[in-house]
Amino acid sequence: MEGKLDALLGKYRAACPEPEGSIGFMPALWQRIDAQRRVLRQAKGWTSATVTFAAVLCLVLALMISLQSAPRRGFWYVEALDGDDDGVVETTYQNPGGRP
Amino acid sequence: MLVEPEVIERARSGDDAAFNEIVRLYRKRILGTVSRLIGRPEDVEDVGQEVFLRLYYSMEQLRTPDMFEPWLYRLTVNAAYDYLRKRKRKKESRLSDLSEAQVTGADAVAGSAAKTEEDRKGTIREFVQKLLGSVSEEDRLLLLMKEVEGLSIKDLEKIYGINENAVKVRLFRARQRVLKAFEKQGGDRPPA
Repeated sequence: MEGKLDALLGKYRAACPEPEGSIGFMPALWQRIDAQRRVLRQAKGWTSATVTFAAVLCLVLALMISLQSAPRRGFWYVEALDGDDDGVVETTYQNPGGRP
Repeated sequence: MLVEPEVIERARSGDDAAFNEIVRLYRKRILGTVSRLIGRPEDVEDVGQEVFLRLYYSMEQLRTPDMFEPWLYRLTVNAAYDYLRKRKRKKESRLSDLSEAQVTGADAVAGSAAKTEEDRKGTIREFVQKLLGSVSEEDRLLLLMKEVEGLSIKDLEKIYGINENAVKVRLFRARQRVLKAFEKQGGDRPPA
């Protein structure tokens, strides 16, 4: 049976055509290469646009965060207490235990 | 090798003329291999173009020109495999799925003296392709590369990137399955 299978596979090899490829083989191949190249170029364009946008967005967000978290000049806690007119600082100092 | 290493180097660096030269030199060989792997002459050119398309976009990954041919065969096997998988999804019937009457009919057609040479070849192609339906697509291609394309175990090691023992084991198992299917389908009466 092994021999018969080998013979059959040999016949199969002979039965399969050895195509040369039609005249249109190369032009069609280059069309496919160019089509893929266009797709890749578009994808590359989109990728670089997305990366640029993301970088700009990061910069803007970083700038916003740094502006928000920066201490406002003349607004330290002690200064705020010092500028307070209701006498809380003084009262607290005189009565640390909060007793009347 | 059919092509000079310097041509491969030029193609790797983006020289389209060098790539054309590679296609010109290997076209017949690759189309022949594809033809035997997929067994459908009408789709050979399409799959062959897919092989060279993949080659074009993967030339940069080729480490040395020495590996060019195994690389090209690997792309060929992969393209054929993808094609066969797509075709399988279309649920084409295989011999193993056919009824006894259909098998008998196929044998009768195979045995008919009136059919033309082309019909006879077509019947053999169909018979073998359907017989190979008893193994997985991967094993079918491996078996064809060894038994029909005549590649050595060493070549297959390079193409598949697996060791000698693994190649031998897979080949043995695939062959045993095909043999079993062959016996089942009346191996003593293969198409003439």
